[in-house]
Amino acid sequence: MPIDETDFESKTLPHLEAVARFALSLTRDRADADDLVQETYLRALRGWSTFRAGGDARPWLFTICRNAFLRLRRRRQAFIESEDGDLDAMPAVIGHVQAMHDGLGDLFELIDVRPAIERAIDNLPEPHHTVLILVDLENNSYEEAAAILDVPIGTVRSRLFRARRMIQETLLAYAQDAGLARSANGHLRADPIAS
Amino acid sequence: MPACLEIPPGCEAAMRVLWDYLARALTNPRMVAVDEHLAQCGICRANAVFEKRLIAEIAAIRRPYDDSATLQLRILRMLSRARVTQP
Repeated sequence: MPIDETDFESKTLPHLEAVARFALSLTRDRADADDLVQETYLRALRGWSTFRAGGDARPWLFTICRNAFLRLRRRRQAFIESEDGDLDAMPAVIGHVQAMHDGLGDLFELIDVRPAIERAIDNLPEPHHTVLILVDLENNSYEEAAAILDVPIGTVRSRLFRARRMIQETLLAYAQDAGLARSANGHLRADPIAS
Repeated sequence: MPACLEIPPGCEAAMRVLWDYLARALTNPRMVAVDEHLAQCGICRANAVFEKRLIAEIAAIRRPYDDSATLQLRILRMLSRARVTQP
């Protein structure tokens, strides 16, 4: 059966930038990301006849991209994770309660947190980094992320919540280092560590 | 205390499901239960505002893929070549 070339491009190319961002999040290297995107689209073209008409090409392309990445890199890290995301949600909130006590309740109004968040995201270990990118930055649902990663939804929740928790911890440490945390007597620290 | 929030009641139960609540991924009765708790608990409400802002700040980090037009040209050329050699 001949491939409908026009249909392929009209369905897949609108997602090119999103796929490229995802590829960059996986490879963390621009040249490698470009190669991965090319590989993704080549595989997608070859598998176009298997794509279900009327389906959403975006998660389909993300899945191909991730699988291509795994095949190309053959790199897997052993890790231990809980299937219970609540276990990570709870300490994150407790961390915020402590931060409020330290005077960081209005953290977002006090400093520009984006540089710290960017660094924190870049430093997230796999597989937490990928899940955060898929859900929080690329707006995939838990279900879509689970399908892309071929893991249960509970695993997506767990990884996502742990990633957020790690970012929050980094953020709070960043604020404290910037001298925004209050001492026990309620006064701001006199000797901020960060410049 | 809303009955839908399981033991341990109150703040801890709400905090455990806070991220699912913010994602509106809870069942309707549990969403309502957390809503009710947040309406009466200033501490948890502040936590919810903070976590919601954190998620928004993370989402705002999404960076454009520089020079995606060049990448698109590369992909189009590759697709053309692949079609020529398509069995």
